[in-house]
Amino acid sequence: MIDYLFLTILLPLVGVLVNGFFGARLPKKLVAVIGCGTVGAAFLIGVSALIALARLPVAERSVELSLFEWMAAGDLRVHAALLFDPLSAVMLVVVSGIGLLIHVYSIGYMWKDSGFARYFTYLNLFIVSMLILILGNNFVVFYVGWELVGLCSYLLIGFWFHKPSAADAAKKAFIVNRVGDLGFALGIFAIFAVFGTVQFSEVFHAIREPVNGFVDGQNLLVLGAIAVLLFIGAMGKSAQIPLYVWLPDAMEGPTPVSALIHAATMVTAGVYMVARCHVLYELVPGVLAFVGVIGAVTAVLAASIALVQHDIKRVLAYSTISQLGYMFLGCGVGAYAAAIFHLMTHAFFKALLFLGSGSVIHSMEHAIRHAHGDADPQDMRNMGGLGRHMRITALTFVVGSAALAGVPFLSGFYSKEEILTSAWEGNRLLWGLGVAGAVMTAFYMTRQVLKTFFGKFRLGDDIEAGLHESAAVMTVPLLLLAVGAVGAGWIAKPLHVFLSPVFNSQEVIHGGVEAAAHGGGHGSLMVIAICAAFAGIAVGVALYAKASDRPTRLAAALEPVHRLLYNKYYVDEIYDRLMISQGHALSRFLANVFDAHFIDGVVNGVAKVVGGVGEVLKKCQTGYVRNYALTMAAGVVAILLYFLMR
Amino acid sequence: MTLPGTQPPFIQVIAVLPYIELLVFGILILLVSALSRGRNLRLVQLLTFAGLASAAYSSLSLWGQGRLQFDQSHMVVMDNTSVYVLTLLCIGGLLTALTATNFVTRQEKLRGEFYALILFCIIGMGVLASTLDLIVLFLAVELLSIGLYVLAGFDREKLFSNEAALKYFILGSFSSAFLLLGIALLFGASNGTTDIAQMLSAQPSPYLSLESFTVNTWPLSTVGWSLVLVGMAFKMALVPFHVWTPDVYQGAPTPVTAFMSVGVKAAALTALLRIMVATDLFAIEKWSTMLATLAILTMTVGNVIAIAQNSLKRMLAYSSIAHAGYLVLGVVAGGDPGMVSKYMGYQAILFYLAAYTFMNLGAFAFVIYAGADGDLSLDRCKGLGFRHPIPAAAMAIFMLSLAGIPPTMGFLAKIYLFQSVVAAGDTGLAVIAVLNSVVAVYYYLRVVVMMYMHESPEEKTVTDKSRGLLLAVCGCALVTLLLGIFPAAVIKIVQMCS
Repeated sequence: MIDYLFLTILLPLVGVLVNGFFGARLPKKLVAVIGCGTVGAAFLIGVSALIALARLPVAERSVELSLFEWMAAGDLRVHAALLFDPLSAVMLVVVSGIGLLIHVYSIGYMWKDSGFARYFTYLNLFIVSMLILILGNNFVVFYVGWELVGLCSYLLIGFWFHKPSAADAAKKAFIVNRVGDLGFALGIFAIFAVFGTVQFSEVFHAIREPVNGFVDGQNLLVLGAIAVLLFIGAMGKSAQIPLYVWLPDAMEGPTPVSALIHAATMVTAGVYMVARCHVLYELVPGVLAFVGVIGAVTAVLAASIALVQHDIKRVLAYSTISQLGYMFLGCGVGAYAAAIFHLMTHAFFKALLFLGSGSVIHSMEHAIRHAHGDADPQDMRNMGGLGRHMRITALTFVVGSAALAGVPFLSGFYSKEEILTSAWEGNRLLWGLGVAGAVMTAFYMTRQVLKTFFGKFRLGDDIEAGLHESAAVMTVPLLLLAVGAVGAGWIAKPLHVFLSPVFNSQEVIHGGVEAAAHGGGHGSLMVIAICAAFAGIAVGVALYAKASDRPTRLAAALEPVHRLLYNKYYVDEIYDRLMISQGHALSRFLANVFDAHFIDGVVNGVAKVVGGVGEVLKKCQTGYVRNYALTMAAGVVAILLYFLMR
Repeated sequence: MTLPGTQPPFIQVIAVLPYIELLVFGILILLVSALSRGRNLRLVQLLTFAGLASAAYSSLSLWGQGRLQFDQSHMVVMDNTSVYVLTLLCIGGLLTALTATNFVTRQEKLRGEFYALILFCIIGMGVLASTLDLIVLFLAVELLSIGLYVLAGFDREKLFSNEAALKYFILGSFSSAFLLLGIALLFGASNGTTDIAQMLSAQPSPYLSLESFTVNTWPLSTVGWSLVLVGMAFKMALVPFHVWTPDVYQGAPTPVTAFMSVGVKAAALTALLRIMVATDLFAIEKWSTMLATLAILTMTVGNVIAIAQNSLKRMLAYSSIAHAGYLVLGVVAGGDPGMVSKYMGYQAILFYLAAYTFMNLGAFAFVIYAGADGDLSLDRCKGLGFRHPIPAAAMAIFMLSLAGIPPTMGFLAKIYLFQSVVAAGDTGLAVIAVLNSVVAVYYYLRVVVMMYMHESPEEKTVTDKSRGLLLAVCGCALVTLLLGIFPAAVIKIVQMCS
């Protein structure tokens, strides 16, 4: 089955082509079937390939499939080739599986949108791109996927491009990602310059078993630079400080897109990259520590912003940034398997939460439009008591929230606990930040659940009458994801055993897993984690369980802090002041002064000269054969003279 | 079958089989069109396609068989390069035949002859690309030229077409005279051989000198080689032997223009490559300087005058002059056998020829489409991007590719070519070539700008909507783009040629 792995990319690509070229003319049902069917097939192939891989002996669980030689220029040889090992296998199944559920959900969510076929084209293209990224066996193919997912993200954030806010958000995401991609591309160039190859296995082999004592001080500096450059790319794609600002705005896209791209899959590409390159990062502990610190700080900072936001999707967006921070924290302390584990569990519960919020928004929108209101359907201050009208959505949302908050025996608990345990062994300060973030996580999720689904509906009866549960095509994916959000944590041990040949480290297995699976060794840490979760929940319940003015009073008491958090630490404003307005000033200067006068002058001058010469030479073309013959004869004489004179 | 003890004449028919097939099919076409009085166009076209396909097939079956010779001399040599170029020529002929349907239908008489002449020309081009003998080289040049003279004047009702044929014929004869004189001098200088490969080792004629023969010191052979070069330069349209090109390209029927711009160039350049490899002529500094000078002149004059053109056909004529200049750079780079660039130049030229075949034929095919075989002025391109989105998109691809912009085949062709020039140490030459490409971007992009950024005029353009033509336009565009993104296969093939 592994031999047919290329089909996982090819089939969704067929979907892209069919829906892209003919989708507008096909009936919607067929578009949906093509979109979901191709991804479903990819998922099935992925699962059976995973099983086939698991049946191989451990030492052989890394298969490289070369499809064709893509380009060869000098020493650079790039094959369009796939790498299938436990890491990419897990990613493949997670991405195609969750992608499938979100595709199905999208049928219901996007049914009335006029861009239905365009939407599924983009969504399929995203799956194609993400699988290229995951399965590529070298940095160049990886980079192709990396850029393509960025493109899809841009297209889907700006899906409703007639809305200026969506168009702006799309541009912001693209531009901020460019900053990271520049670093990433430089990293790849440096890798080729140093190792003379871009293939993962060859590069890592060269690092692991250096020829002629490769790893000395100076070379370590080079490796460090490469690691930092690659990580800059990860900061952009996975929304880490300081390049996280695009992700909250990315919520302008359709909600299933937020679930798929901006929560479950694409944004985890950076984590996947660091895990994939762990051989490199382990050699440069300084950079690894940097990764961990960035992750931990992001985790806390983003969680603190999420405490006070009112937009239901924005809370989830900051929560995503925060959770991505946890994954990098895990990488930073060397617990790659734990990071990938958290990536997987997070994919389940965060996709669930986004889809749940989508279901809520869908229903709110409908109800508000029905009653001719103009309230914001995403503002939690307009909600409340939705649980009575949307039981399945509410139930699954609560399950997802509990998993994210770290309630014991749900998936998020195991993975987060594992990261925190590893952090404890690595660096106590990072662990402290992680625990603080966990408290906040539990709090903001409790706040969100209570404000949305419990209490009284805040917009009045005529709108409340329009609320309804979403269709089965939307609720069934919710239920399936909820099962994942509950149960994904229970496969911790087999997952780690499966992944261990990739990361080649015994500590993780001994440390994290044992602790998480058996509660042994680090019992007290686990107790602290549980306490953190329940502390957050308790505060949330105390403040929001009953309609009261307690939250407002608290906000007033902590006015400066609240304002700082509510305005997201003014980071956007700072960027605006520091970079964007400066950039505008520079571009205005370049456009109005430099370009208009200097460049245009030079260009037009040269063009005028060349054009004038052309006009003159054109006149030499008289049309008379005798003149032509004379020209040729003169040419012959000139050539002969040249040779005879020398 | 060889009987023991006997020495049969060594003849390998298989080495010339593709040419025989082309000949047979050409004659068949003539017969069919004579018998059906030119009415049975379908059958004639079918025969053309069959002839081209069978020639391409039997030449491809010789791929990788090493160097096959027709007899013990080097009159016809079938190696990988010959196979490659011949296949390319067959593809070119096929595309020409596809684009010409409506043009041929418009001719009252003389229908089948068009296709027969195309096949005969391909024989001439193919032989030119696969000979190492000066007499055969001359014959091949004449064979392809005579066919093209007739084809250029095929539109008998049109004055321009007649003028083009006559001009081409007169100036062509003029250049043939130089070529023949050069061959005669070389024959004398090398003690009576016309075999290029043996020329260097041959003893000089005792009547001329007692010195041993070298290209370097022997004025007779120097004059001979320069006159041969002049003959080839005329065919490739190198400045200053390009003067016929604009008038002929513009006057000739567009399918013919497309065919000759691609085919003659491919054949003549391959012949030049063979001379380069067999004699190491261009390893000598003054020869490579001469060649470089011609290249610079050709690129610059072609590009600069192309800017001032309003007719698309004439612009493409000058553009093809400029491309001939780029291609000669490859010979300059590959000339020195001591340099690493030797194979690079050779391979770059072969790659470039493939790219050029598709993008240039495609561009001319679009001119046929939008100009309905008349000429196409820049003004008439206005708004085509909206009225004819698919062909216009294809044209945009051709223009970008001719300008050398990624991700097209033309970009990679330029990269490889310029890379070989740099590897040969002629960085200055590469800089001049790049500057020339910058100039060229202007007139190529102007077409795109006209198509997409200007409102269309009120009147509707008449278009040639034959299915074959659309197929040719779209096919060329697809190949230009796909092989620009996935060039590995072509590169591997080209590497096996040198």
